[in-house]
Amino acid sequence: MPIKKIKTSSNGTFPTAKDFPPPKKLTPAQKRLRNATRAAMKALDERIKKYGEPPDFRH
Amino acid sequence: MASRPILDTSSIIAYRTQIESVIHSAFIPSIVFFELLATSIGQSELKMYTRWRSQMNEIDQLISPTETDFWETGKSINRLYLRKAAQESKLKTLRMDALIARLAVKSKNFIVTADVDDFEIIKKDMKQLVIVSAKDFFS
Repeated sequence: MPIKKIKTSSNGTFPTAKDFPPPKKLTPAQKRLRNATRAAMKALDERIKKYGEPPDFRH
Repeated sequence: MASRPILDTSSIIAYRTQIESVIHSAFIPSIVFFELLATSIGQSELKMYTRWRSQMNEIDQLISPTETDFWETGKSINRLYLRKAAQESKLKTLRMDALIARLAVKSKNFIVTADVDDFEIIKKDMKQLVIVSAKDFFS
């Protein structure tokens, strides 16, 4: 995927998710990634609803 | 200005319903998969992370620190320690985040995080680090 240059305004505006719209046509690999992401986030959401947020294991 | 988002664990957990919308552009550090895996419960969750990691890797959006990254990050943490930029107990918790920050600086991308304060401490040493609040990014 080509790297998109996002400009920062002088008042410190930063990019948002809207600056990264999905490609109009997904490649087969991108479709697999989308589906895998959706499934992983669903599993994470179900885990959080059932057991709460994961503990912070950085410590 | 940095060009693409690098998602940390805190942003993925807090904005899990919106991650799919940016996944085609985002990078995810292997450290995030380490943290998700280490705290997962049950085979189903583990299986989903395994598949997700594999797909991220397939399109080269899974990024990992090299031996040099560990070395340079160690130097950064050391400078913060010697300058007493934060309490020692706080610096200990920043090790993983500092590695993610190093990946962002090296690749000229920006961090999306719900833990802005932690990355602000790291930025005291990594001046080029660009931090975007997950709340602002996904708003």
